Amino acid sequence: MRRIKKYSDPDLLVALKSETDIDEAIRSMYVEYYQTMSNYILQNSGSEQDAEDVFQDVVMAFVNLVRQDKYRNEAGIKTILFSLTRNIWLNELKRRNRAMKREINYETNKDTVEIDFSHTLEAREMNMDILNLMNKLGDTCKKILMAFYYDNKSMKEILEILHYENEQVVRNKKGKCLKALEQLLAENPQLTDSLKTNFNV
Amino acid sequence: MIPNFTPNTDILIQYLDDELIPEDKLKLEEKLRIDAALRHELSNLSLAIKTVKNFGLKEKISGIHTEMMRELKPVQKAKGAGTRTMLLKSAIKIAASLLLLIIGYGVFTYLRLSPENIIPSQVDPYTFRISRAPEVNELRQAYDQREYTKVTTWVEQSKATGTTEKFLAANSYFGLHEYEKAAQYFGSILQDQASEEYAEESQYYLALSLLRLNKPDEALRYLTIIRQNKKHKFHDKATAGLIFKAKMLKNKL
Repeated sequence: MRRIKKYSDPDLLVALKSETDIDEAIRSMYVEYYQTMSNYILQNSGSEQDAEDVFQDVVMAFVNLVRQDKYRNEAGIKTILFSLTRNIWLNELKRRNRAMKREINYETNKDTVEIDFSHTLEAREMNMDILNLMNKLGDTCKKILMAFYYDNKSMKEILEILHYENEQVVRNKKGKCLKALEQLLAENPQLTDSLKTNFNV
Repeated sequence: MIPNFTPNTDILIQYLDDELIPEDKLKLEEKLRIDAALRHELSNLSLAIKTVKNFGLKEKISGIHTEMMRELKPVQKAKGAGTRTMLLKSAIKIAASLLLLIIGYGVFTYLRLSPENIIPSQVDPYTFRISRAPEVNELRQAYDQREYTKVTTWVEQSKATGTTEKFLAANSYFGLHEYEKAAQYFGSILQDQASEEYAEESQYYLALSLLRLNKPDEALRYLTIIRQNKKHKFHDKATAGLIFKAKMLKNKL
């Protein structure tokens, strides 16, 4: 395995907010915490696939917390991740309508803290809905919007990637795509509400 | 899907993308303060942008997840396999150590096996039950008091032929560690077809004497007879262990 940078808690928070260091910071979260969180899922009726899915959600929720400045060092990162894992997994078990909640070890764990993650618990369903929405939008729109809003690429860079006639064409296309997405969201009020809660809009 | 652009959509997007010149930005913000529909559209467009960013982050994490699983899973499997191998190795080591110990103990026992080990000198000759009967004679009293030389001297000198006298002499020789003489007397009692008296006692003590004389083959004959007869007085004393040791001694010769 290649060498992955190890971060202290404060450094990790900085890296997760940075556009250049976020990838390595997420990798380091996998190296440091995946095993522990995965063991928790496996010991509580989950499969390896469940462990993988939950950890992805945990990372997503944690990065959002950090990026939205909602994580204010209430507890160590490991403690927060464990609490997220526990909450997301319990919620998932509830969602599956299994009466397995009783089987979860409610052992008093010194690493467990009670933090309100209620809005992060719907993250999995919300992410699935967003994926569906983006797929409805089509591949080109997905690429343009992602390139501009997520990868922070300029119109000129996007033009080179997508081979449009000129920057104005790309700009118009991007506008149409964003408006189309806005309308798709408007057609899905439940998701819109959930997104507004999640993004603090 | 054909998006329904309002007259303000373009300018709102430019505003969100921070592409408006300051004057236009101020004008728009002025309009936003008074126009609820405009604010609503801005809010929705802003939500769409956040949705794209969230989707991007999800895609990024998903990509890193796949990459990290490729790297972490083999390590975990190797660790798991390593733990299993280590456990197996430890179990094999323990089993091998135990086997070595058993073999070592066996070899040690075999090497130090001798008539003296099997029948130590401390083994007492036959002990009579205490009798208050007046007929207990002087010879028996001497035997009971472990005056074995006195008993053997008397029997030898008087040339006594009675079974009891022979039995007392045999056991006295056994007590004096003169196993050759003891074996002679015990043998003589057993050869006396007329009497069954002291036969079972003589078989056992003859076997012990023969073992001390390093004649395990002959001793085994009597030990086997005793072992096979569950009603034999000395059945419990002719143990499988004693027979096994006698056989080992026989092999060693």
